Amino acid sequence: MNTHRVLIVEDQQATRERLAGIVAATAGLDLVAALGDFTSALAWLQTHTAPRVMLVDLGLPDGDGLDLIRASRGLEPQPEVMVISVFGDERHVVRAIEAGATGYLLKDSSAEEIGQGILRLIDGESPISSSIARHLLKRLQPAARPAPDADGPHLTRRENDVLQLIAKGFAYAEIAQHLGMSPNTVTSHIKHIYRKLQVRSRGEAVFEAMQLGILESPR
Amino acid sequence: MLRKLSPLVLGALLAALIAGVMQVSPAHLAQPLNRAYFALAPGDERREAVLLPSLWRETCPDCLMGWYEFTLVPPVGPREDMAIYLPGVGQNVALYLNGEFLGQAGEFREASGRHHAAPLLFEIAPALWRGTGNTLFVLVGADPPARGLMPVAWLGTLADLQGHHRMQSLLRQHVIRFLGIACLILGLVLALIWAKRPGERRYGWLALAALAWSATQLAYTVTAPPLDAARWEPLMSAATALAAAAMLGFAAELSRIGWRTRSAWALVLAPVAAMLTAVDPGGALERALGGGLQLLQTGAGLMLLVAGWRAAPGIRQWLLLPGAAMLVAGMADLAPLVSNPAFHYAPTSLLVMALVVVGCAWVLLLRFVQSLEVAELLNIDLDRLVRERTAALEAQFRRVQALEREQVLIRERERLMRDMHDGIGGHLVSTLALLEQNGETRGAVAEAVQGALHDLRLMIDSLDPVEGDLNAVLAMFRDRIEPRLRAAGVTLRWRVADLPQLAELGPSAVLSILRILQETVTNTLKHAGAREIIIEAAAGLATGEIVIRISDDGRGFDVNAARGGRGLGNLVHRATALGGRLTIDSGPEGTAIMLYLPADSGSAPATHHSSVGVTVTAMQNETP
Repeated sequence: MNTHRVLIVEDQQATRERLAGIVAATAGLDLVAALGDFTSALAWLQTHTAPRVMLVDLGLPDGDGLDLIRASRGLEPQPEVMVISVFGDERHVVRAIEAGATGYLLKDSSAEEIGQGILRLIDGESPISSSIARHLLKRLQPAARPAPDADGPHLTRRENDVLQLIAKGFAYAEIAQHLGMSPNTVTSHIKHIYRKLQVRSRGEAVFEAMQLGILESPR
Repeated sequence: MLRKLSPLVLGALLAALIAGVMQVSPAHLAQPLNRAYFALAPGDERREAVLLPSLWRETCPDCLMGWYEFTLVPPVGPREDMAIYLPGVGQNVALYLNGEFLGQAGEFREASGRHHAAPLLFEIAPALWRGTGNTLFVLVGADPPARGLMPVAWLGTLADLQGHHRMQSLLRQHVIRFLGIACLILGLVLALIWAKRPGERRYGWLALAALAWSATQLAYTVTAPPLDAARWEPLMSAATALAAAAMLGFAAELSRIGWRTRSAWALVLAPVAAMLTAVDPGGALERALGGGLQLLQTGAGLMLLVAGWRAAPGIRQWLLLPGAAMLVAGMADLAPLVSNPAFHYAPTSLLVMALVVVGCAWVLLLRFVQSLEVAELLNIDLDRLVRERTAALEAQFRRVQALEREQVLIRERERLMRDMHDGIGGHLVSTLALLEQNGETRGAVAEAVQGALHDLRLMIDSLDPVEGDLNAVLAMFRDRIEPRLRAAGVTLRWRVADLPQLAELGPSAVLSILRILQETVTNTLKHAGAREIIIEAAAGLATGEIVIRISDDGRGFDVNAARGGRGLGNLVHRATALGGRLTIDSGPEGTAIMLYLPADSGSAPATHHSSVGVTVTAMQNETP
């Protein structure tokens, strides 16, 4: 069975060990490292093949987890990034999505939920809460914008419908049934929406990764 | 007193000087030719001796032309250039010495030229003189004959008379012509100002006076009128009367002696004068009116004096000076007019009044420009004031805003403290208490800590601005509760309709609603043993009241027995604090808790959210 390499960057020891245990125990996942600070995470990324999934805490003692997430966007193959959050609040999560994260997990979720969440992310399913959907709607479709094709990212009509329903509290299955699409289509819409938030280009991300030494500069 | 007297004296002296210069005779320079023979044809035997000046209306009322014959004594030094000077003639003239033509003024065909105010000088070449018996013939033509006049002629050296002639021409012709142009321009400007500000009548009166005078001076300076005498003369008479009447009106307006309306009647004199001139030019009535107009101008001068005497220092001298000048000029003209009508054509007041009109117009214009500048300054001031006030208001607004922000922060901090105390604080205290007990408490501690975490999440959710959207609040609740229900193997049925906007849905209310919902669901999970929970929400069609119903299929409980318990009491209390109410219905087939929330008055169902919202109300789905 194909296993997916998982890197954990979390400074709280108890949480790090719990997450490491969960990943190790989940079939299909392979824990490659569980690190506690920014510097060693950066060093690891410089010396190892990129993992399939990175679980990243934002508040690291010696650096900003957002910088780590941005740097990971330049990697090949590009890892999926899950931000580790206590509350899953919009401020945390949306900033992480802008930096390049495609998912988030709550620290106190059950072992099963965390394991399933990581596997679903690998499958292409990004989690999203109603309040994050509400903020994305506001962010990507401000009332002042005169035309949908104005500067900046914008939502397609379908993406907009999906976000509206999520903001109202409906589950993926309910939305899929209502909009007459498969649940997979709903999840791929959400992934697209996440990508639209990543305001900076991939080229910039590559440059940043070079700056941080994760990618080698061409000689 | 001195300040009042000095412009007065100055004005009087100025008028006297003008009068003196205008009426001075060249007696000291030349020899007067005041005796002549008058005949209708040169060399006519029926000639008669006359003493000059000779007025035709007295000597020859029907003559159109006449010849004056002088016998001249040859000059002492015949080699010198000589000249004949005429101070003004009524109305055209041609001179012949010893049969040789000396010169002429005006056309004789229609006798329409007018030289009564034009000083004339005729040179005599030395070669024209004979040893003895030098005869000078002067041909005079007048139409109407009443205007005919032969003045005293003067014989002197060309050099002497030229200076006199120049001075007289300057005063009686050039200065007056210049003042006429000035009056025309100033009159037009004043008329424009008056048209814009009809309330300020002094502009109107002075404009009329200036324009009328600029027409009046044509009677003196135009020697070849464009019209025939029958039309030209009444026009000039009317202009003269109009100028005098307007000056009176202007003076009355300034002096504020209550004659404003009365002096307007003087305007009637203009058509009267025109009529009199047309009917009987040079007649007694016309002359009487001329005297009356002189009186009128003198009266205007007097009014200006009165006005100036009362006026404020700034404007006083501008009234006293012209007033005195007009008064003196009027008297200087009246005296000879009575005693010697020949001087009628050299009125001092003509020039003085022109000066007064131009002076007054100039002063008025200056004051108008000044008032414009003042207005401009006021505008600049006002602009500055507005800017200052705006800045002050902005500063004040910022202060108020800062204060409000501070107030909001204080309120929010208080609320957070209270909520922390009620929620997470309580949980932590109980956690501590559990830890202090020495029993088997790990599970209970975990539960208490989990409770604290759940409550903290609700608090964080409640800080998320939902902008009155109750659907968003319910959605947040679903996000939080669904993993727990899933873990417990309980199915959630979600039947939430689009709800109307609630204006009063602040963080505090949101937290209360979330806590009611969470406690209800937590109770169900703990005690009911339910397999399914249904969450429904809708707005009452008639009342707009919002109902949130949470029901389960678990074993119910005795509501009355449970009422005393802290849990249910808390729910009811929170609902009441929200301005709503809560009912509990429980039986063997399950429990239903209904939370009623008051609708905003006049609020409409939320329509801004989406076009798909309408159909969402009908959705019923199971979430495994």
